[in-house]
Amino acid sequence: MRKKWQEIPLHVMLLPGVLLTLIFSYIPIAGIAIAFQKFQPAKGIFHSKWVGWDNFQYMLDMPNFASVLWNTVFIAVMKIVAGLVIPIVVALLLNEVAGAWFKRTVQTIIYFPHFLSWVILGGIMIDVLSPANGIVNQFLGLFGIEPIFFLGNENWFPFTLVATDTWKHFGYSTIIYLAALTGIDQHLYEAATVDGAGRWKQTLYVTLPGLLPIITLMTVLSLGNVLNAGFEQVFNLYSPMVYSTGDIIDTLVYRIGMVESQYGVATAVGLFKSVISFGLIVLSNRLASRYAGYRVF
Amino acid sequence: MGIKRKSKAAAALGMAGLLVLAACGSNNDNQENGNASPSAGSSPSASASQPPADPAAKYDPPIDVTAWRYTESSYKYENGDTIENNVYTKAYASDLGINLKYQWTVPVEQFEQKLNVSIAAGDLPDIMWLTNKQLTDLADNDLLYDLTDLYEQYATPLTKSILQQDQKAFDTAKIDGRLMAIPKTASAVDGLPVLHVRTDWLEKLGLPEPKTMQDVLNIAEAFVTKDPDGNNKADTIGLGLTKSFLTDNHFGTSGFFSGFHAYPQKWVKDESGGLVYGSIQPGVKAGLQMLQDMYKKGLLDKEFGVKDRAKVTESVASGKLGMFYGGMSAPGSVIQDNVTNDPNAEWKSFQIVSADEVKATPIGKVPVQLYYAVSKKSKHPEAIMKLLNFSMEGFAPDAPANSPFGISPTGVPVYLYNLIGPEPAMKNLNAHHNIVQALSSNDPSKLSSEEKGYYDRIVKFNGGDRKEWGQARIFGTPSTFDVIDQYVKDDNYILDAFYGGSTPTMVEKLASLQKMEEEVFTKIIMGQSLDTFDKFVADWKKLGGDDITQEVNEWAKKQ
Repeated sequence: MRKKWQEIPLHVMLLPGVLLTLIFSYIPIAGIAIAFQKFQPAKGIFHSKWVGWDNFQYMLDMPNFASVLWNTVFIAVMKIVAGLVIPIVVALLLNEVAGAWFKRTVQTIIYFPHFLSWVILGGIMIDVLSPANGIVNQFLGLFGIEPIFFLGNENWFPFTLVATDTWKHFGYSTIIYLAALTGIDQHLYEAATVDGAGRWKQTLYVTLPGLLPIITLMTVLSLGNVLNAGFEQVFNLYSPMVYSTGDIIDTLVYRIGMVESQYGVATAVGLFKSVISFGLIVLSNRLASRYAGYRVF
Repeated sequence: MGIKRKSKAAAALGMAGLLVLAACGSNNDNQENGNASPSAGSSPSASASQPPADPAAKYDPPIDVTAWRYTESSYKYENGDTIENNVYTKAYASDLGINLKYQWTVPVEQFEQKLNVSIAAGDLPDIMWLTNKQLTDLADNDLLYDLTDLYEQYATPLTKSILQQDQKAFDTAKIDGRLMAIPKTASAVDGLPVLHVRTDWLEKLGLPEPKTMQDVLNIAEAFVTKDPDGNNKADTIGLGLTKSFLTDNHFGTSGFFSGFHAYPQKWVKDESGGLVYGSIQPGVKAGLQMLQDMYKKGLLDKEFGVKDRAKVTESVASGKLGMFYGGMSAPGSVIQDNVTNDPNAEWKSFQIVSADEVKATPIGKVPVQLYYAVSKKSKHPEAIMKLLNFSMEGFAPDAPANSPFGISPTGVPVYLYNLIGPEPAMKNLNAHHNIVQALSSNDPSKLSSEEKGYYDRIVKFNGGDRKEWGQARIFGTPSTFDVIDQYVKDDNYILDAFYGGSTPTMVEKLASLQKMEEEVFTKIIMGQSLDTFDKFVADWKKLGGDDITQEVNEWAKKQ
């Protein structure tokens, strides 16, 4: 009984977080109703006309919905893969580096782009990736490669998105993995050395298994993003030239919802995205617990 | 609610100008009036049959009026002013007894979104800035106060003469014949496109001023191949475009296509008198053909398809671009940096040119893009009329020159703070005329305070200050307004024939159609076969364009 009383301050400390989550994440769920209405702002949720599944029907009937869906999944999956693999590799490499000063400097430099908004980076990218005088194409020119219009060529555009997005965010994830690395028991390395394992074997049999829980966690969480190809980035970088491969669900929703004020359809598309993401997170969590023996939830 | 009334003399004086009004507002002989509806026998505009109303009566005790609005990056503040507290809000309080409280103010880019969200939330202020779409929505849902009678009762003859200068523009605020908002009237001719060319390059290369489309082509070619900036590098651009060239004002193609008598993205009358969509007319194809050829020859920026206005402005500022189609404000907004950076740079504005013998006619938009509406629940629906009359007094012929309401001595455009700011239809063009006259006679005494602001800056430019070049090339002479003046004198301009809210099919299909249009036009310029244009026309009609055309024509019949 006394123990329960002692826990009360902890619960009180938890309260603000729970309240904020309730207010900002749970109460707005009621807005899902809009997906089933012909929503008119002036009439509000309570007086707008109910239209059943019409908005979803409309979404699926849109002439370019299939291609937009494909673009979204294609870009997002590549981003997820690159966003998982590259930080792990970089974290492992950094972990092998001896000088703490060098390690910290690199960490800071690669972390920095994470703080810049795509609005700013969009302008920088146009210069950096310019086929005429961009630094990337000048570098490729050294190897005799013809200039590539990364932002204007519809074949290159999705890969440009993935590369620039990974460049912006890999520093952040790297830090998470570096933190996890410090949590691995040093005795394991000593034991491995005694057993005659070299650097490579240590990485394979000590470090990676030690990272597995955090890798699983990051994978499971990122799978929820399979329909999030990154609105802010695409919106700032795309142009009519690359609509065919660069237009994603979010930019479509923006044009329908905000420019044409079709709230019902925009909400329906949003709900569609959320349901699929939810399904994928549940599925990946199951798979993770079955094959890696680790559960996030 | 009691309302104090000004004396007859004060009301008449108030008409004479803002300064006089401000001066006498505090010390005139007020009289209590217990009646809820404002009444006064002394009003010059009150008609006999209606309850008499004094348009200039001050509220006492003062009332609170809530509102929302947007602000723009051109808004500047000094002396601790803010949008909530400035010379206008103070004058509303001291002269009219109106304490203005903004529910919110947002940058114009977020206005549409914030507006939709706020309307959805249902918390409407007394006075709202609205776009045509929301005006229709709110009126349809009976949330707006019908201003028809208040306008008749309160608006002074001066106000009426300004707002109804262009009756067609004024009528866009009417729904089923009832006045549901005060339209923010402005000048349609201000938006007409002109051709901007770097004349120091023309001289250097020995080229004539552009008179025909062929001249434009020759100039573009020379600007690219003959190294006008003299750095021995092929790094100059012939004609400036942005990635959203179809809709952009500066670096757009509206003026260019007009040279082919084509009007993409606008609605125009065909021979039968019906409205047709400009983007699908045959003239567009000829224009695209020329742009495609120019792109092939390297006369356009190879990367125009990814560049927005800020990026192309960089090309101008760094002296890489010497010709583009733009609006009358271009010298101040996008060329100025080039002139500041480069002491030799000089630009001139020209009328748009034609590709054949028929004169090119530029197109503009109907000049009302914003409306001031009153919530049905407002306790003081007539307050907007007092604010309106108050604002219009500055445009009276005998308004004092140096009122605090125009442009401040340091060049801050104070007039932008005003909540209710319709403008006379030709305000800027008239300002140009007055300023040119004042410059030639060296006598600025007849200028309004706004005009005096421009005048002072042009005088500074004439004294050698190149930072004021843009101002001189907008309002002085030679200037963009010289060109616009010529359009007006020749009666050589047309307006977008459709200015209603989105039709039902537009709401459903326009986003897709717009995307298709931008994509097809951009790709054609960058080299795709011109046959794609014919396919685009067929697709556009099939995918909802025919329905939209029908709806637009039904709308036109009702006007």
